[in-house]
Amino acid sequence: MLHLPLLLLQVGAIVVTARLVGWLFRKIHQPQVMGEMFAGILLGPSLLGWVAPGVSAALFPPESLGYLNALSQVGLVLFMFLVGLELQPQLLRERGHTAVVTSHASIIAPFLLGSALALFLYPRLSDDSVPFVSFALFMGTAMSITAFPVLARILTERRILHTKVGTVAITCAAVDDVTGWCVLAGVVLLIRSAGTGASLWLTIGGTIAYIALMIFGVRRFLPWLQSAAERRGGVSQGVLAMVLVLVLASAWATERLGIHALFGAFILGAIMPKGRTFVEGITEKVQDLTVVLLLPLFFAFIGLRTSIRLLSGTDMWLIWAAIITVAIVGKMGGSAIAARLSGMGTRESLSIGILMNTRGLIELVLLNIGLELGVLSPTLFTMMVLMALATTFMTAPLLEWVYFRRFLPAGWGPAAVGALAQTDETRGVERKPTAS
Amino acid sequence: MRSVFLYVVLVGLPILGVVAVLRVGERLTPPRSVGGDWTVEAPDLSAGIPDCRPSWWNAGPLVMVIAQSGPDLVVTFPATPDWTLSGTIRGDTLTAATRGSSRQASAIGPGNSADLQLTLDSQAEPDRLTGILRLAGCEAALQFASRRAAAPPGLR
Repeated sequence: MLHLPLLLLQVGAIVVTARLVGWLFRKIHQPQVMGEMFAGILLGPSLLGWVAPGVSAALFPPESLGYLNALSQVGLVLFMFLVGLELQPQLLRERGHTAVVTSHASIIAPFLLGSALALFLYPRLSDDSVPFVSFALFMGTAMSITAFPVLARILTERRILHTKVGTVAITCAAVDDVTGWCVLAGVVLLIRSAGTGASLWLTIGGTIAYIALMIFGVRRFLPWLQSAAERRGGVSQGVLAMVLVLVLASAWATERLGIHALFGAFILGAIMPKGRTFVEGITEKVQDLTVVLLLPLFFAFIGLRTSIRLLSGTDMWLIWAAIITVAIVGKMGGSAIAARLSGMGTRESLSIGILMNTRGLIELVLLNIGLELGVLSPTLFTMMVLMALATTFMTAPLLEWVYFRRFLPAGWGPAAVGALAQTDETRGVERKPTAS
Repeated sequence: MRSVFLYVVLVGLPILGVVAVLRVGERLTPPRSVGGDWTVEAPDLSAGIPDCRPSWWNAGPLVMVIAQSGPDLVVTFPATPDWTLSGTIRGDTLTAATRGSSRQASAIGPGNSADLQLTLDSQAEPDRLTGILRLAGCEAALQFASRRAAAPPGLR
């Protein structure tokens, strides 16, 4: 039974903690979302449940978590819609070919290493309810994901989105995102159809019919919504309501098909018309509530399922070290080598590798699906969450070190760099815009 | 031409590598799955010494929750949050014992420890665990049997 005062208390405590830790992380030049993810871990058994088990049990009793999860899933559906909305198909069409080797290599290299690592992890951290193929494909996908939204924010905040590095990185991230979600949809489909005995071919047929409907049916209707928004000079409540209904319908369809609701939300966002007024209008109305209120609930829910104490003993930490090494070598190394062989400079290539290694929130979404499906055991889930946090955390300082500082000729101070900021941005020259 | 060569080396070959990994991995044998919720069946009271039974033993349908990560297990009983047993599964045999914290010790009783030895008959009854629960200070072990209440998450 819903206990509203408790739910309100939980939401309040989560939002306050997320904002506070997010603010602290901004102070150390980390993205706000990184702090919010970390706040979720603090609220779980790794800290609150350890130092104040009574408070933790009173604030987050297990029977109350279903409501929290439901709210956070609604937030995720909206968030994945926004991620799809941010994708620029035009970008892929125009620049995709220039980044094709880098983007594909940045997916397949970590995928190969992740699935190879599965050979070692499967007997140690999985069980016979999960077929090896599903486990290995999931590990490969988890290693190859890039957090497109976090990456876009880092590039925008650092004002390098329109540089060569920024352009290649964002294009590769977009390709990675689409590919990663398609592979994940396939893995989810494989696991669920194996578990329920439902016909795999029926689900595949349904999925193809769904995608065809979205591309050849729904997508043709969407410009009408955009025109309505442009005529009014903004997105009205009526248009927003129609968009939200479409998001929910698309998410419902893919959930019923067995490939997860988030895939449907992402697809609808991706096929939306990309007129500036329309996209900005929707984003403005949906984003704040999603990011400030609902996403922290998801981080808290992840945190409540993450127990660092499960990593007891040296052998567990060694396994974690292997996971993070494979994650970094596969993603950062694979992307950097591919970029270098494609003709980019050494530091540009390294910077692309560093940027592509940002897994962030998208990785947490994927890991949560893995835990729900039973592909990830609680211990492996904790290890992967820590890997996601670590690889996201290292992006800003590594980028600072490799891209900004090392690109500057000796003797160039922050003031000189700041003065060149605007010119560099328009020229596409890689220099740090400001000292911050 | 160089791009094609690069694509084959950087993308094509790794794809073949993934296929090879999937084929090799199919030969691996993971531990048996026992994770999930189990309903403890009514114990045979004559087999144990009633005074040794925990106070919550007969309070109603007893649920045992097993969290599994490979062969490592954490066994809990939601009816008594202080009970946490850590153990492993090797083949079809599950063993678990209390970790020995002071809070757990007082919850368990005078002997301050408990251990569980269960067997899974994976051929005949893969959803049933049978065995014994030993409580320190009790001469006889409690007969213990439980049936899987919920399938592992992926199969639900």
